[in-house]
Amino acid sequence: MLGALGQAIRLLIAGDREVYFIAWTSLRISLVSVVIASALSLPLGFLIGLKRFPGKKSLIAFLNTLMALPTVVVGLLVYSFISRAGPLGSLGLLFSPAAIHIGQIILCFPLITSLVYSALSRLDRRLPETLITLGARPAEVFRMTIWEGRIAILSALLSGFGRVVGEVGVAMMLGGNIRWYTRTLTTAIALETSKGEFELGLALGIILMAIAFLVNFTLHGVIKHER
Amino acid sequence: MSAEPLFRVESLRFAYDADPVLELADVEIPSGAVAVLIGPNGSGKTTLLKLLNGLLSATGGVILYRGRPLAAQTLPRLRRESVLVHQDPYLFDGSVYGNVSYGLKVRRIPTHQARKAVAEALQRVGLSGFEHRKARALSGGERQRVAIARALVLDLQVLFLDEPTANVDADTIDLLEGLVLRLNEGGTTVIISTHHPAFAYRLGTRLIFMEEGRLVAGRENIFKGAVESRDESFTYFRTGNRVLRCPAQEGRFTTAVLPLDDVILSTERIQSSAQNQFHGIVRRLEPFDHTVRVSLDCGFPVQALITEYAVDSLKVVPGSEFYVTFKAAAIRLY
Repeated sequence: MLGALGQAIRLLIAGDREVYFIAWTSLRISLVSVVIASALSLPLGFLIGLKRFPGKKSLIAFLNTLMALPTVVVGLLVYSFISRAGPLGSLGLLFSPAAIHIGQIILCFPLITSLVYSALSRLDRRLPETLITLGARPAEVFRMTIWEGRIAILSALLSGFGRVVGEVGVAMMLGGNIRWYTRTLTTAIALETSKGEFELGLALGIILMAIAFLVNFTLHGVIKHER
Repeated sequence: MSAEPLFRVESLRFAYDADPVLELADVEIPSGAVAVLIGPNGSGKTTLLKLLNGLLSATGGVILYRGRPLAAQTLPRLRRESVLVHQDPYLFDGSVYGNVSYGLKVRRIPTHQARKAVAEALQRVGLSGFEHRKARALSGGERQRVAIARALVLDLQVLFLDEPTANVDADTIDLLEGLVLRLNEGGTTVIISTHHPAFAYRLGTRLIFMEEGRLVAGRENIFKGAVESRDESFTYFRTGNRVLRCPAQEGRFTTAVLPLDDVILSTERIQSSAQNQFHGIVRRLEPFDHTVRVSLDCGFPVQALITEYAVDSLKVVPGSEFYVTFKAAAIRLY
């Protein structure tokens, strides 16, 4: 373990270009997936959290079920759609970052939506009324509600990030672990482990943890600073 | 007062599920009124305020605002012209300035204008210089004032105040009273829910009594006026061109309240312990809750509740003349 830690530090200090590239790929793909997923999750979470509509309970149950989706199942499903023989095969998405995005969005969207919805439904009930009575239109009510719930929403986004940055099923099956292209920290770890390079695998794992920590720390810092 | 009421409610019904929370016959609120909804907790006051402000939609019946039913086309106007201040208001996370300027921001008022308007509104609620304070760190009374400033800054036609006197100190209540009076002088209609009787009687030009989601008729005469003088026996309260003898007490009262069933009608002057006696002419008779409500003009309007039997035996008809008698002790001053 100590050896792995030492190697992780050596890899980072030595400025191994490939390690940096892999780490950057992981970070970039996961962040973009979370941003895209949240563009869907925030409005849907807002609707579920604050509005009444028929079928709301079933929708919540459905989202909760999706939260338990195994990553390999998502990988397999998306694979069957975008592989050459699949209905979207002509788009040539398989084994590209875009394919990983699709899988990751499916993975984190239900989780982020559920967390956003429960965060917003815990917000004070007087908030939407106060906004409306002061003359806010629906888009402004949405913006201000998200703003007032920003800390809980940030946690939701970070949970989504945690779900995708550390998963291997989608990245492997849809990204294909292509060197200098779609190789992420998790697929690299899987590869090094299968090669018997446990120490290198573990070092990459430590780098992954460090990235997750930095993302959390930075975003929480931003929010704290805003207050 | 214009002929068309600002609000007119027709057989309004509101229910959360199957149970009706509110079932109102017709109510009118004239433009320029200080309408006070009085009733115990759970009587539907807040629900009515929210319905009038368009925050809730009625399950049945109609609300007319300036003669037009509240609907998608008429709501924007009501929104621009009115604000509801909640009991224990919600303040946004951030500064007092951010809170008070919010309505201006959504109305796209330029910043330099907004700054001035916010400073003025804060001054009106006695919070000058509070712009940069954290809104949520303020005391209950101060928070209430910030919420009111947040409404005042918008130059409103209608202000809804939900239980403004709950959870605030006596100073804030005094300030609120002055504010409501000045707003009303400026032409703003103020609609208040409260169970604070002094606040209601002093401010209300239109009192709406509610119980269990229904309207109940007021059972009191409400005389507006001022204390003329006092001695060790009585407080002399002038209303119109008449003076009422009231229990001796200190205070700057503006309202005398006399229950309808504490008023006696007689054909002759009567000698009794009752300290107030006036001569008046019957103007109107109406059935009221198994009795008859008689409205008289004694130089000021007085109403009395008497039985059918008394109406017949005394021959009470419009135009007939009677003496009206009531005890000083029956009068409450606010």
